[in-house]
Amino acid sequence: MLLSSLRIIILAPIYAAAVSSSSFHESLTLHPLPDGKLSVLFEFTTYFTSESSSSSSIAQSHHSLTPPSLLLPLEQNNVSELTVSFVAGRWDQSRSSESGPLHHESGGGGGEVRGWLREDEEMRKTSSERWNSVTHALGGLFCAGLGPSDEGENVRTFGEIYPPVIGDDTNLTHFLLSHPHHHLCTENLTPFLSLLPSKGLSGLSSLLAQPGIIFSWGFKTEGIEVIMPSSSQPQGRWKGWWEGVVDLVPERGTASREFSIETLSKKHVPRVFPEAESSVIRLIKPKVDSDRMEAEPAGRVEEKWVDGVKREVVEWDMLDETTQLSGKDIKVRWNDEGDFKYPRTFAKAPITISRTVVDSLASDGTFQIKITNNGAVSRDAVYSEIWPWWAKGWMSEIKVHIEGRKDDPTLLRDVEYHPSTPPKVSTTTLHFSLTLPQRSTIVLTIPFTKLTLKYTEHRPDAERGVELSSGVLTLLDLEQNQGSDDEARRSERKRIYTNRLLLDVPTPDFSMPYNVIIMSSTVMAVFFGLMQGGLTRRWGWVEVPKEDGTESGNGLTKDTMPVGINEKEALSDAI
Amino acid sequence: MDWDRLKKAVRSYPEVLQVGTLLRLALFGVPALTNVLQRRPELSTPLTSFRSLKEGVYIYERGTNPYSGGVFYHSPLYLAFFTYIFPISSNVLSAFVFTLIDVASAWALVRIWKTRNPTSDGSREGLVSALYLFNPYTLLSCLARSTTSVDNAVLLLAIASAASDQATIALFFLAIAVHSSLYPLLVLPPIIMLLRRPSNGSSSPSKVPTSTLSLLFTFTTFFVAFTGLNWTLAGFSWLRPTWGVITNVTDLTPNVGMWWYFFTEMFEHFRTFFLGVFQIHNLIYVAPICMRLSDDPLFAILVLVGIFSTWKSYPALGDMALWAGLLGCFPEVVSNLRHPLFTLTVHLYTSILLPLLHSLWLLTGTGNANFFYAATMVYGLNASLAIVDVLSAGLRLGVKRSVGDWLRERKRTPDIKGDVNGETESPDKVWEEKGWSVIQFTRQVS
Repeated sequence: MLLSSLRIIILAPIYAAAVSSSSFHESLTLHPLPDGKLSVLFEFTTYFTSESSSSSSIAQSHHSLTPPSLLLPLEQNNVSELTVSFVAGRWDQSRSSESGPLHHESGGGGGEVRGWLREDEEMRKTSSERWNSVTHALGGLFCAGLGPSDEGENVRTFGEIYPPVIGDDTNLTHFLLSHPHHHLCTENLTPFLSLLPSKGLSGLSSLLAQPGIIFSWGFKTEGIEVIMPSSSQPQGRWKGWWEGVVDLVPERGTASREFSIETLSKKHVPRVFPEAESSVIRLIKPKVDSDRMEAEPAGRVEEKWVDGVKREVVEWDMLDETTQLSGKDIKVRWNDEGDFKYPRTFAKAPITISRTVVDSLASDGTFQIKITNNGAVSRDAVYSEIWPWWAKGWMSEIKVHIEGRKDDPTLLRDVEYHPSTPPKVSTTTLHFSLTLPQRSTIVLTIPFTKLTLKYTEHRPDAERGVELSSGVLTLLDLEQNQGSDDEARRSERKRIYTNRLLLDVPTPDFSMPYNVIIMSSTVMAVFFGLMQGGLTRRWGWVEVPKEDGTESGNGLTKDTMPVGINEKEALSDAI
Repeated sequence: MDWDRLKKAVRSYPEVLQVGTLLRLALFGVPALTNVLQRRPELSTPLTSFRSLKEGVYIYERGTNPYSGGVFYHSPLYLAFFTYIFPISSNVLSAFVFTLIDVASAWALVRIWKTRNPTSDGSREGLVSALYLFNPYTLLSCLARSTTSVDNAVLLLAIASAASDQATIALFFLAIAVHSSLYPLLVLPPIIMLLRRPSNGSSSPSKVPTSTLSLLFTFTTFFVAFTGLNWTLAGFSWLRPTWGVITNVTDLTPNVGMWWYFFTEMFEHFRTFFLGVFQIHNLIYVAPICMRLSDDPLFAILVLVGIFSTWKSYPALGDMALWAGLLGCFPEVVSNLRHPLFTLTVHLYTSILLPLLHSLWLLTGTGNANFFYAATMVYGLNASLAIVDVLSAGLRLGVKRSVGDWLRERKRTPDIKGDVNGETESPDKVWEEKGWSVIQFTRQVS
């Protein structure tokens, strides 16, 4: 009796910190795509609060739900919000009928870190110094080079594209670092799992902790999003996501596309993580064939707006005592469907975007960006690009037109151009304010030239080319209001990304430095030598006898030679 | 082809100008041709490219400073000229401007020829202008709307004014030329020498030479005035992208010069040293040439223009056109060249080699940088040898003249029979008959 009451007294502060102020939620969302693939999204959200305004508001012990290794560097560097995203593979907008992956915050191709830093006069370091230290710390955490290799790689003009989730941007500075060459791999998964309170051991995260399975999936994205508590908003949130696209029918026409948790992950539905406040498995029914689709056991069905379309969502609550899902399996199948037949046409995604290089020469090219609005209403959007310093765009030659029609400058309302400053490492950023008319494709062409890089500035394996960051289309007219009539705008997808682009760069011969120095210097020396000779030597004249003359020889005869010199002696001095 | 009629036409200088103008305007009427030429790196460098100029004016007209991003390298003078005086967006207007500029260059060359040969009957004027106007390098630079043509015209006007003793105008144009491409600063000493000659055939004998100091002061005044004008346009932000790029070679876009590949391949820690070496290499010839050729400052200008046309940091074929045009004013030097045919054929060879190897590397992407580098090496070596040839020819000519004077003097003394049959015969012919030749001794000038 005495012992147990003592225990309560000792453990009380820990319980208070861990239970009352933090909460953990996890979910797994399954979304069958029309091309026989399945989008699988894991989301792990932790809410935490700072109990006092003191600097040690983040729990530094490991007895809490929040990972100190993630939050401490953010707190020390006065970060307000931060998103890290890795994307591998290619999202196929035409066959998935979706503009992008289920998780809206995942960025374009490769790795990306972006966030808001609070301005603080008490801080000794400048915001960019703090940004560098936080990106390097996270790079170490994720086993990926996330920090900038040069100060100039930081992009600071994307604040309006990624506005702060909480509050406005007063006293905040936005930073974005794009690493399009980065590739999501196993090394990035292990640290991700270790940040989760369930560590990949129980709950839904145990399905994820199988690199052999999940890295065999096609498109993959992983990331975290952290919103730090502030004086005005004492509750913070950090969320980790992992999304992959599974090919349910790897060989076309040979199998049915029915699936279950077990076929996906070689495991049954796991035990619930004891600290989870909610643990949910969801299934978004597809746009087509949804009435033929059947799930077992049956879950709770509700309707939800997803990307401008009202969809049926089946939900299984793993905390529900009555269903007792753990240890069992959830099966999904299509009635009366044998082998999956690959559809001939696909429903169009509300907005699709593609970027290619046309008129491609080794030193020049033209970006061609095609944005298709398949909706019934005209949309306002901003299209943004990030280029490395050596891609020089020709602003005076930018053209916009609707496919199949003449140039229409009214579609391009405004261009915000932040040029790079070569030869320093820097970035060019461009924001095009566009009008996307309904049911049409607008084509934006931007001619560009590749500046010549020094041989030390090329990446290893330079002949392969260099990746360019994804372009971002930001939709400005989304309706969060559920009562709105306009269907296309009822979406939470603010941004649509193009694929990243591999550009080949003209390379010098990397084995040549010595040869070039030697050969160019030789030409210079030859010139200098001849000039010096001509300018400093004495000029005179000689008589060369005629070839038919009696005297032969090397041209300089006994008689003429001294005469020439003697008589010229006085003259040549004057010349 | 009626050879005699052509010869006759070339003699008539206004006709040459007319034909040159018409030819240019006709070719400007083929946009496909001019568009291709505009992108040629042999004709326009990033510092003289019309595309860059258009881009800069576009950005400037939208209220942004084009010098804030490092992609615009033209002088603010060009920016102002093509924004406020001749709107660059009009293709027709710019075609007229560039044609007019070439005609002005040809006119300046004729003036230089006239001041050099005040007694000539004008039969060579047509040839001098034709050599410039129908030089393919000049024609193509003009059609590419490369601002090299404008730089050339300004420099030629400066030289022509200096040759006819118009000090203020000469220094005014020279200040513009220095502002836009910096290297014409190297011809400031010979131009001052030219203006301070004791007597000039065309000028009145009562002329009192202006002092060097006052000439320098005039030049500095113009130079500072233009700097002030630039400052009103863009503050001092233009310094780094214009003169800074010329001196530090931060843009490594391939051109016909010797610099771009050298500094692409250069080790970072040697870069500053070799930049110094390459720039000083241009500078180092000024004093010796001015001293050695002090009796003929115009010839010193010719040699110096040749040197910096070849060895400047961003040369184009148009720079060689300027040199070739100036050379047309020195027929007596041309007749003393040792290997004019070799120079000419190698120029022909490089004019095939350069576009071919450029397209292999930068268009189809099948070759690598060494291809184009090899072509620029051939071009640079040939141009260098040609300059040495011209310098030697000039010095040889000097010897011949001195010997001619000496012989004439001896003729007056009774014991020697006339060796030279009067002044009418050309000295070259006499020398050939006698089997005399000028040689370069291994001994230094004492």
